[in-house]
Amino acid sequence: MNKPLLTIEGLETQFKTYAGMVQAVRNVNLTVNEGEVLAVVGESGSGKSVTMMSFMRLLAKNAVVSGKVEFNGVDLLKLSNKEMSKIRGREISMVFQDPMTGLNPVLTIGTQMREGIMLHLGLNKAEANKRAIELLNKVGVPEPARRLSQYPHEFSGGMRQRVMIALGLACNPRLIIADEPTTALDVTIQAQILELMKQLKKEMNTAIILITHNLGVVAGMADRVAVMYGGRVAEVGTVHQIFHQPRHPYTWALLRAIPRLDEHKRRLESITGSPPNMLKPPGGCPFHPRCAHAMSVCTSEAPEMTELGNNHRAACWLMHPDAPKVDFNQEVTKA
Amino acid sequence: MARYILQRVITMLVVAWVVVTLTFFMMKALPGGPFASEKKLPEAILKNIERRYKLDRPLMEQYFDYLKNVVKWDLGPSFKYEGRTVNDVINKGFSVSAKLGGLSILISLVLGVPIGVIGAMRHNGLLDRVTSGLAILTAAAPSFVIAGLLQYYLGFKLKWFPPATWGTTKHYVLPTIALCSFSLAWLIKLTRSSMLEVTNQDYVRTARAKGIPEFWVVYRHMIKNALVPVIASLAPLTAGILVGSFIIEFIFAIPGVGREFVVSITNRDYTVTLGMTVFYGFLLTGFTLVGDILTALVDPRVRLDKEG
Amino acid sequence: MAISDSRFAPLPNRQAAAERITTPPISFAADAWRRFKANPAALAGLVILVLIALAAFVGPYFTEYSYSDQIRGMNNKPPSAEHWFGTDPLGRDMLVRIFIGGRISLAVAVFAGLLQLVVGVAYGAVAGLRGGRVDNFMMRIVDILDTIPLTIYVILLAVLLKPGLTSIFIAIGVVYWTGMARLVRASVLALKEQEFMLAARALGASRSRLVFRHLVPNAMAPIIVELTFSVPRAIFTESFLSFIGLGVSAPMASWGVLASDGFAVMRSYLWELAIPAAAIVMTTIAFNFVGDGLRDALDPKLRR
Repeated sequence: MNKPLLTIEGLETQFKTYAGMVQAVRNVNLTVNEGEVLAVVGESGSGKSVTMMSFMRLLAKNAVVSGKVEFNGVDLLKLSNKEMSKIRGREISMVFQDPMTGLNPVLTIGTQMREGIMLHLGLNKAEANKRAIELLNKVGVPEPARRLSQYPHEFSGGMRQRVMIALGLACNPRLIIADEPTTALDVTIQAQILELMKQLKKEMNTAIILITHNLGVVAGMADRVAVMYGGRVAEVGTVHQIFHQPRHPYTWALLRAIPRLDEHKRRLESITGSPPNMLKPPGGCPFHPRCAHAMSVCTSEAPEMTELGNNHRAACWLMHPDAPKVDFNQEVTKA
Repeated sequence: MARYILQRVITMLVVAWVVVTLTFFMMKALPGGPFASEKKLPEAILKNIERRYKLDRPLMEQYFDYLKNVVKWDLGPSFKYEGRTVNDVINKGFSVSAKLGGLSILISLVLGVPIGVIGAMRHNGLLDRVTSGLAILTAAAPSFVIAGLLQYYLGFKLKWFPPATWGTTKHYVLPTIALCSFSLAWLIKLTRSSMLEVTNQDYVRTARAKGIPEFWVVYRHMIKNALVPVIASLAPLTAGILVGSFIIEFIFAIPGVGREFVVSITNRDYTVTLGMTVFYGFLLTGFTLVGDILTALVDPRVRLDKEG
Repeated sequence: MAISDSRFAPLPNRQAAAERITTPPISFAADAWRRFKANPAALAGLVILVLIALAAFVGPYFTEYSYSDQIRGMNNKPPSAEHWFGTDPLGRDMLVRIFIGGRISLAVAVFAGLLQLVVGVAYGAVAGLRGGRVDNFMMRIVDILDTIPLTIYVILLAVLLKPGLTSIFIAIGVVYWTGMARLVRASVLALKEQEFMLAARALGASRSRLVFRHLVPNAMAPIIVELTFSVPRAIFTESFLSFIGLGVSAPMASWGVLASDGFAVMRSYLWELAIPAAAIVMTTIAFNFVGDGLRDALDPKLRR
């Protein structure tokens, strides 16, 4: 269970734009173990998706990626395009967030499902068809045989998202990257899809990276959580550690922003200020302009990751022995 | 699909009716119009016109009469030449014009689409820059300038091709180049921008994430989508060729309908101009219909949206 | 390495700091201009257009010749120090004729563009604001108009109206407005649902006030872009009309007329075609570059 499947080391991603270099991902280190669910949370623009797309090598040509991303002992960033396309869809697959635009409107669902299966598993068309029907059945698309000859616009949003998940599962990958797979769906369908993913993970022992900004989803599904802010990892730990012993002020702020049924009196908190401009990120810790505990050191030097025991790590100057002590329990629950 | 086609056919019939009606009332309503200045006409023609257009009758009667004649494919007599009708002009020149125009459309499509696709794939590469530059230049120069220069240099000076008139295969070369230059440039630009648009679509990323090799991503996932607007542009493409043919046929002295149209304008042969306007209107309506049906064949959303 | 304790002192006044926006706001116009400037082709296009317009409107005052004066014995002379652009078959100075022709061509283009704007904005705004059945019907008409070969109707109108400058721009303006109408309607529909419209209506603003005070300014960006593209189209159409004999009448001249006059004598006096043709090409390309630049600069989606 604890054998690392994917190790990201010192990943940096920049985009060349008219206005200058946008630093989307800065020195990210993460590990995903076999068969575990790692949730990556953070606001839009915090670099969650870009991190994944960087090592999947799916970014536009203006992206500059450096660092080391080992999957199963192979550095993905060093592979040729041909070798990489053998891994994409076969070993690592992705489920994207927008089911309305993620499927090709002029090809039938069958064509789109079969092509990956035939390519990676070496099946012929009839066998691929059988596999596609099997997959659609598994993700709960009714009448799969008939559905295969239809086009994406004949499917509802929820059904399309199921198709996207089926596409992700098609070749029994060892890792699925699910980029906000439920954001575009309404709540009941969201729950169904998540339940489905949980079940599939159990059956196939697939590792999942779940990108989301919904902490409720995280609590229900994840084994471990990485909190990202301003292109960096702010804190990483088990679900228990993140929800019950959070150490980074940004994590506190995120947790304060969850509505809770058991505390009526408290006003729902939002995080003050706005996410950093990645074109000119603030010096030092990216969170310091919005941090209630910022110290002068935060404005000049980016904090290192501090190991807090049991693989719980946070990047914050408050972890420094000289820093003032802040009680996280109080911070999370304060009004 | 059948219902969609039927619906398009009906729409096009309405369009054809609008063309006839608009044309008829334009010539009736405008102050400088043909019948306001029917002074120095030869007696025989005047009689002909009066008989044909029933000028002494009420307007609506004239209109329905005109409509009836158009339905019978009788587009009216000439205003200037006795015994000549618009139908004569069309019958005589259409096959030549169709050959020239058809060839130009074909060349534009066969060259323009692949160049546009390659240009988008090698965005800002050498081919892309050269063709984009040429496309900008051809699209900015009036077609008579391009035609004139071709005729002068390749026809008169270098004598590679006959500079004018119609006959052998060699006669086709210069007018076809001149005629398709604009539509070719336009088609390259359209295909290229359509491809670039498709490049950024989510479903292309999905295809790549499935591990589909780049060639198949382009071939299966991008080109088909990128062609939808290109096919839908068949009608405007034809319209461009058609308008271009007026000038090209005139310059190269080709005995087609386009030249006759220009001659009718310079001669102020109003009724021929009007009749040909209706004819061109019908022609383009037909091409619009073909374009709509082809679009529906490529894009399943179109046929179903309209049916449902 | 020990970090001195003072570095761990809390920063004062955290609340205010958090409320501060991390980047200073840039106004829309300033931002658009910044992006327009970053596009060298667009900037070059703008400079060329300014120069051409300046030449067309002030140029004639700096030359001793007039566009209609025929100089005896100076027929078809090639460009020289005296006559920079040579002379035409009637011995008229080509330089001043190009200036004057520029005035006419630009005037035709601008007036045709404005006419399209007026018709298109009125039509599109009514369709978009009324919505429902009226909108449906009005847009059906636009669909139908778009399927008929409009250039032929421009020709027909130019034939039927008395030939001349006004007829040309009326013909172009009355016929080519459907693109503008679609554009305005789309903007109106998008804006109609926004809150500031509701607020204005709640305050009792009249319909025409809504259109001209609120909707038009907000739909301005796409309208301006469409206008920059419609101007070269009009110059083009004008040269086409001139070639088939529907241009402005002598001794007046537009670039289209000059080019088609030059066409007649090109085998002997090529410059008489080349110079006006170059003027048309340059202006058209410049407008297209400026249009492309404006489209990118004014597109809120591209703002960063």
